Amino acid sequence: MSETDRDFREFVAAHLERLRALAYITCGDWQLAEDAVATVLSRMYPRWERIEQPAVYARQAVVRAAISEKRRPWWRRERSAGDALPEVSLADHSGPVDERLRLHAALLRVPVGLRSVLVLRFIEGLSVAETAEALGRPEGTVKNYTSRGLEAMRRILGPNLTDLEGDKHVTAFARHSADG
Amino acid sequence: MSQRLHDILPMVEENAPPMRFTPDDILGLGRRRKRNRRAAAVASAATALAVAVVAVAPNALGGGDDLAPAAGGPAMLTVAGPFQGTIVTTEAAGFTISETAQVTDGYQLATITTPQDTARAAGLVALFRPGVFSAKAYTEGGQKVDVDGRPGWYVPEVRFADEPDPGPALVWEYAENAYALVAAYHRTGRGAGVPEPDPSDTTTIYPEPPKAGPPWMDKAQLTTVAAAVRTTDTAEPLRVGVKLPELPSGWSLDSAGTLSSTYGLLDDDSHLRLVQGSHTYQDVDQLRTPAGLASIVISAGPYRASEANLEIAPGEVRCPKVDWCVWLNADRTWLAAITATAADGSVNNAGTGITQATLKAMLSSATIADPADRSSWFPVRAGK
Repeated sequence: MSETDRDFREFVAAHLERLRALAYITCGDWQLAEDAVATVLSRMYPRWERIEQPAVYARQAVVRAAISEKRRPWWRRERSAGDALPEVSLADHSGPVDERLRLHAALLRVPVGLRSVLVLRFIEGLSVAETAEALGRPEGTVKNYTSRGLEAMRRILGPNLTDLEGDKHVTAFARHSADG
Repeated sequence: MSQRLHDILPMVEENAPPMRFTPDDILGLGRRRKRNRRAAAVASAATALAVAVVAVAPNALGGGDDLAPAAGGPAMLTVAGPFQGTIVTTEAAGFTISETAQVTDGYQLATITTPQDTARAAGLVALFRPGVFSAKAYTEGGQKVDVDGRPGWYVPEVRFADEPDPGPALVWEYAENAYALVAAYHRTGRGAGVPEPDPSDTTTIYPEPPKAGPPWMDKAQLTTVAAAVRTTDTAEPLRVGVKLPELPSGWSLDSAGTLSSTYGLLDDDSHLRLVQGSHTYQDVDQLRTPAGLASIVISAGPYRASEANLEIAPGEVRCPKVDWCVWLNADRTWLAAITATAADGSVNNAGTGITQATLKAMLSSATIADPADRSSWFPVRAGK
């Protein structure tokens, strides 16, 4: 195995699980998430030595790919039947997880265009400019989608939601817009 | 109460199912992609449809040479050959076990239905050929049960590939080193009714997916249903509503049938799934399409109202995308589609050697039967 291959393999081993989780948060389907991650990483291999920040690149590309996988027309028809045999695994019964499950469920109900912005900004912690670059959209659109995405989350989660992280970003955005 | 979006990530990581790809798989996919790019740069000659006469695998059809009764218990189930369907319709505990709905070289599948839900299945029956199924997770962690004199193991919580809520399943050894499985679906769950997102719509909030209800069957019902599974002594080829005269050279049949890929959905679309190279099911503990192989799926079924916005002229094969062609019959009642997926699962035909022209030629050469008239369907006649 060449040094390049070894580097690439080590990177994949270190980031595979997290990238898949990120894709799953974005698309809500484990199989689509795995497909998105495999696609992104295998596409990185031929250009491996030219990618300056592979972890950053991979995370942003995986979010885009996970959204893209969900956009596939007729994906139901494109997949083979028979993906449905159960595998033995343990269920999670921990109570504190419930709130995060509720948050994730709400995120999955947000329109995909807004969702990708929320994932990159508040899960990946990217700035408006970084998010705009990652998604190939103008910064103004990212700001608009951030505001609308958080508003959608608040509508879904109901009036009890008072301190969803990101509110401060909306506030900052509103202030920035007013100043600008 | 603090609710932080980035707290979702560790929760999801902690509850992730086993990974389908290993780092070595990814490395292999990357290497293949790099080779394909180089090859494409050297010669971008279009790949013609190189077809080969389909070979019929020994014992693949009609025979019964390796049909063998279960040893040490009632000889109710027989071991079928590759791509054979032997499960017959049976009633048990208020449920109906269908005849074989899907075949591969390693197993056959049937659905379990209930009159209370005609849109979705209540469960699944899988009958594996000897040596195909790895039952370790069940035999080591499951509760022992007796299935009509055969040893079985019940596991209350197993997770489906496409379903986040775990449900019960039961595995039993119906013949020497040959296992069968029955699993119960949830009364409601993911699948039908969940809209596909429209990327241009940034306004509509998707409806909340239905919460999973209790499983359709408990341990006692699963045991009863398992004991009721029956097979024929003489295997019949499974019939599907689509037929290909030839397979592209270097491709083989992976699966055929009418089972929907959507969790539990009963849509009865026929399909043939081809993979590049050859694949044999061995030591499987879950049904997943083989990873790392490019695939072509050709499907046929009723033309549904939800697809009515597609602009397809009846009677002609049209390819809206590079990896996707469709055909509509003259009455606009049947629809057939063909797609190619790359080895890494991405939505394109890069590296498959399958061009849009090839897909179009394959769909044009296919024979499509009336989806509603199963007597007109064709026996599966493809081997490796």
